[in-house]
Amino acid sequence: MDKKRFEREMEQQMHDFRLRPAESVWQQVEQRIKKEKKRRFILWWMFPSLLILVYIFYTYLPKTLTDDTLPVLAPTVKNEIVMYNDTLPMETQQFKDSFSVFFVEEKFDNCGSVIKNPEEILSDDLAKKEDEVGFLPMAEIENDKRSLSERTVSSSAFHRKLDDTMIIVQCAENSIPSGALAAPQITDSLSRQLNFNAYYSFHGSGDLSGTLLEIGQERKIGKRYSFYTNLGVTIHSGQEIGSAGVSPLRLNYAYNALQSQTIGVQATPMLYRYSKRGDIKIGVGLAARYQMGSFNAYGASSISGSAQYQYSIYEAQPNSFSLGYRINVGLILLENRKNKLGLEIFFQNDTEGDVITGLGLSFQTKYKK
Amino acid sequence: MNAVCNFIRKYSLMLILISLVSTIKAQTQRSIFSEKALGFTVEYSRQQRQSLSGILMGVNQEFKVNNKLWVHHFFSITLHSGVDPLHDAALKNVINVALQDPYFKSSPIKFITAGIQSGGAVSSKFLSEKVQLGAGPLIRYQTTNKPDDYTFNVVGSSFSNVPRYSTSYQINSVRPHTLSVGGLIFADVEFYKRKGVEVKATLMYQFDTRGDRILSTGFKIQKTYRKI
Repeated sequence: MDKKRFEREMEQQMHDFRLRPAESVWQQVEQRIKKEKKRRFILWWMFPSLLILVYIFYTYLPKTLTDDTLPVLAPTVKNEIVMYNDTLPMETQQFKDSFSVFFVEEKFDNCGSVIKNPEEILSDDLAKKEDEVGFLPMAEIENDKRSLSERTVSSSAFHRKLDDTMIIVQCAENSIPSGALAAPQITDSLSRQLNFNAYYSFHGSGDLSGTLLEIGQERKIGKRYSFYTNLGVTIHSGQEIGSAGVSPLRLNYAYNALQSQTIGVQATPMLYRYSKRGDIKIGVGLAARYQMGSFNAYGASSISGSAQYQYSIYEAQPNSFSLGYRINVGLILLENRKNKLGLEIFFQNDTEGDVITGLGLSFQTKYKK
Repeated sequence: MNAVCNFIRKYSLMLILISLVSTIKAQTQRSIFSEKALGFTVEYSRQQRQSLSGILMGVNQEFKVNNKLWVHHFFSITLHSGVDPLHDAALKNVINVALQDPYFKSSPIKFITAGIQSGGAVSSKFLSEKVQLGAGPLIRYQTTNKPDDYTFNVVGSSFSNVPRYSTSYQINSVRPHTLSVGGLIFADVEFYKRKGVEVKATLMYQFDTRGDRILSTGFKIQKTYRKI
């Protein structure tokens, strides 16, 4: 009873479903048909023997099939363009098990096998009989007309025309589900993304402030992990003892105090783990950093009769190369199929004792190689 | 006018960063251009006004408008550094200062200038599309610790008939954070192209309203960037 209700609900939902294969697919179908026409001459001699075998199969073997049994027409060849011609007679077939039929328009990394619009398979007569209409489980294309999800529905009865074809579009990986419930994810094919991160950051105890700008590539590993390689530049500055009460953050403004400046170029390969929903990530990685600074130790004394200072530099800061670690936490704020915008914070430390922390935005865009 | 200037002062860095985001985000939109590419640039750079040397790193996008016209959008970072030349030049005049005063300790300031800039350009290709010449405007944010006006003093004194020396810097004027607009001209020469990857030698000269002039030369690696 539940089965029939489920089938009825499926019929209602699928009623208005339309799947339009791309033009290129039909061109390939046409080419294949032309090749198949040559083969039909040979197949014609086998037809009577096949009829006899089918008659024996349906007369003497048990009619009930287990759920795990695949029907005769289930595709057995994977990852190549195949067309099957239905050679079953024009009688109603009874299938009590379920099988999967998928259709994909483009080549995906993880894709199923065959899809067929059920309305093309179902005969007009059977479409009128609500109780007997069966549905082929199929992948739907949504989310800008492409996404994959699977429904497995038992089919009770359906008509198949003699020249119906099932089309398998070539896939990158072998992943025909054959009744499995796991649906290939379209995002798996979009396994790379370009990240641009911009942080407001602090160097040291906070007396130097500035920015970290970073560009990198993130590559997915499995469902919840990713590896991120990047190149970043840090720019930090601060004002030493000098004019009091003046903010150094004013643009195009002149001061008469000593300024300190630190810049760094760094690479921080990181391993990220995503939450189940994919909106929070936490990453840990190494940091390799080359840094230049203006000076290490200095002395300042006020000039008599003025508010200005004079500075004696005792020690220069040598350029340095250091190794360290970095911890990143990110939260996705906005997301569509191709892009993400997120908030990130990080903490970084290295062998030179430079602690850098920051808070900023991350823009990520997916791309195909 | 004041309100506009204040707005630009407050949000200048954000405007530059937004232009970088748009450089990458534009890849995701359906393009009306027949060809587009994303490239990375690394160049040796010379800040001529401040006499500092360093590097320029950037990301650039190139769109083909027609057979003769290309449009560019770029975002780059410049890092320049150098040591104050006045320090060593002044101490050369003092003979054997370390021998005279064993407690003498002095180092020159290291000047560091970093810039974040973005802009656009139009270009045209010549000689079977091997040579590309272009020009365009840019907006540049710069942070530096090099003063526009400073003095370096070496002071000698005597204490119990023992000479003592000390040095000091007097900073008269420094603009640590500036935002300026300017322009650039560039020339690229392609010397390698295969499977959508192009490698070009590039030469660029830029100038801005702050008076900074930067000459850069290096390499640009560009690839056809196919979006989903």
